Amino acid sequence: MFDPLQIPNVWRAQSLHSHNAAVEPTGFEPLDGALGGGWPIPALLEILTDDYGIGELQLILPLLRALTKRAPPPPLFVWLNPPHHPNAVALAQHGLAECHHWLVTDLSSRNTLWSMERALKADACSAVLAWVTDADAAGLRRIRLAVSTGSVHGVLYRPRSAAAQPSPAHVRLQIAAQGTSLHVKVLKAQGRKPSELLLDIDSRRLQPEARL
Amino acid sequence: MKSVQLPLIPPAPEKRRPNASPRILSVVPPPTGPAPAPIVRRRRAIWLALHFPDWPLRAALSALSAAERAILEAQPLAVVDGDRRSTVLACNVAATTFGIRAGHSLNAAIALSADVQFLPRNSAQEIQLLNEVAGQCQQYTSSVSPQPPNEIALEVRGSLRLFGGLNNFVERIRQDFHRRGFAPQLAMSPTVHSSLWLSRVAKEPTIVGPRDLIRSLSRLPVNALLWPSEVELRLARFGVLTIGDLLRLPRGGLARRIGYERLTELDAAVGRHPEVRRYFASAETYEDRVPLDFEIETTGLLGVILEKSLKRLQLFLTRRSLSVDCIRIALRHREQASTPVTLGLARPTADMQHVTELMREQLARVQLPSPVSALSITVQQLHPAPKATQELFGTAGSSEATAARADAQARLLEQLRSRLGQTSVSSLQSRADYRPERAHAPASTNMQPLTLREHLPESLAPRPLWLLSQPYDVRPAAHRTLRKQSLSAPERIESGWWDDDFCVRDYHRVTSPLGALGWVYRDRLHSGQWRLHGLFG
Repeated sequence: MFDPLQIPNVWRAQSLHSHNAAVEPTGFEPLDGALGGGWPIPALLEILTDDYGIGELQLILPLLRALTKRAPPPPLFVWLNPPHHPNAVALAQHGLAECHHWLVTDLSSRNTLWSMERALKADACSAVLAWVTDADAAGLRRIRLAVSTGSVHGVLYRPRSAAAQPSPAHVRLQIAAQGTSLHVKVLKAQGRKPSELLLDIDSRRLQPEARL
Repeated sequence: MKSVQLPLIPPAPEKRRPNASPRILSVVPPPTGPAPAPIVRRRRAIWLALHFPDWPLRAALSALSAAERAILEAQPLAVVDGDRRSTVLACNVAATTFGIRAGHSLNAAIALSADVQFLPRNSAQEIQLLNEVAGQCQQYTSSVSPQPPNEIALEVRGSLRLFGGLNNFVERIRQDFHRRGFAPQLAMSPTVHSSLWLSRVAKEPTIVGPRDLIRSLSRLPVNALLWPSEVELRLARFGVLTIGDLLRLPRGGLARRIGYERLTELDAAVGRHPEVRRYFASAETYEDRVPLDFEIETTGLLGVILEKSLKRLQLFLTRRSLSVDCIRIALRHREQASTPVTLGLARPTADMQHVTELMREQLARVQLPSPVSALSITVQQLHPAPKATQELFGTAGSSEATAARADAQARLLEQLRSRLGQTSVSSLQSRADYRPERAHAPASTNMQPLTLREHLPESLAPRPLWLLSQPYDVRPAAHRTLRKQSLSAPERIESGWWDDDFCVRDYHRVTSPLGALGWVYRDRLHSGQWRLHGLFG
């Protein structure tokens, strides 16, 4: 008997997602549920926030740790235009030692997007993290294309005001602190309905997973 | 061919006669005679000689600028030697219509036409041009021997098969040179001398095998040998006009008359005497100068011209299997000092497409002080090309995949640096220090992976993922709330008494009204000032 569901990327409308697509668990159970199993791989993630220090990096650390195991050693992460210095000691405490971390600061939005596109295309790194204040639609589309054709993850941090603009990213999350938890609003996830959820972030921040 | 039959069965040992008196027996097996020397058949070389007619004219013109060349080439033109007679060495077609030929004296040429222009011979340029062509010939064979002033000999035995046989090979060379505007006379024969002599008279490509070598050489006139004119004259006096006549003369007498060296030369040409050649080795540095016919003010157009130069460099590198790690480009101005552009590469490469991209990014950032009138590309050090081996079953964990990734990382780094500046990209590193701002030490020169295991004590409290480059002063009004809010027992860091940066700090974790988790310290040395040092991102 021929089963159409065996064809890759064919799914029932009610299940609303492809069960064959490759995903990487996010490390947060509620978020896995909202995204249909985890982050798609490879993908362009867009995280919208105005505040720093609320757990915006904790959200993707499990993904980065998982990516280190996928690439030939040593893996490389590129940090483009972060708002503050990523702390080498803390990264090591969170299990991201034995990796290259390249840091480029003081970039214009245009140069950030250019560097991100280059890094995504080069097939040299595991993930590119970039912080941009204003991004044009054409630049974002180029980045999405670079992610789809390569094997590198892109994580783009943008201000909350960007939520009103359309974006070609695979996954869009808007985050804010709520007490000691992180309030995540899933604006876009391919094949899933938008949803909202709360994640417990604090305990992870104070107890790094990979103690040395 | 004679072959020696070796006995397959070893000779039977001598039988001991039972009654013989006892004697010392040798344990060494009886000698079977010396082993026959292996018969070595020397592979016969095949030499291809390229003779460039009108070389002095070509060299003298190539030293001029394009505009001057265009003017001169339209007129009757002759190149004269610097000797006493000012002999005409070569002339162009316009000059030959007046009857001027190579070998005329300057006065004779003037007598034939008063309009003819004379250029002095440029010997240095001739040799340089010949070496350039010899370098280009290295694409056919590695045994290239330039024969100044205007000939090149190539040993091509090993290349014939690659280029699809003798005739195809000769045709290919002829066409390659034709495309570059040269019309060399070609001859192929088993010895260097004979191939050179044959090429001097060959109007069509000549191929001579070892059997008819002597017959073909015999037909050549004596002046193909380019011996001094007095020797030629002496030979002509006793009726020797061709090489065949020379070979028929008794050797003793000939040696006395024309000298022993010339006899050896003859012997070498017919293969009776070994020949030794020094092969051409191109320079260990690379330099390419591009004079521009017009001045250029925009970097975009310069990029197009530099791309062509880089393609030439690519050819040079491919032929010699070399790679480069630093390319210096000088943009020369008419009045000012030149503008340097340096393309530094993280690892040696021969891939000029990648270098071209880097060059474009770098050029985009260059401010030209004045128009550019010439360019030069210099490579000081050439490295052997990296050897890339492919695994039969490429797997992600293999050393090949790791090497490919390291290569891609080096390229990415070069791309980022060429657009954003040499020191723009830094690598996160750590140092063994308790002061957080010192433990975190980004480096922009050596891109090492972050390693910490030996630097980090087991019991270190969690550090914030974000570190502020300048600790941020908290308003005194907020001090009280901070003290109340502190989530944990403070962590005291007291360190650095041995250097100027002594610090005594109590670190607390506090939550901001917006929900951010911060890392705040109280500076116990400076009147208890509270400062925000990091954020738990």
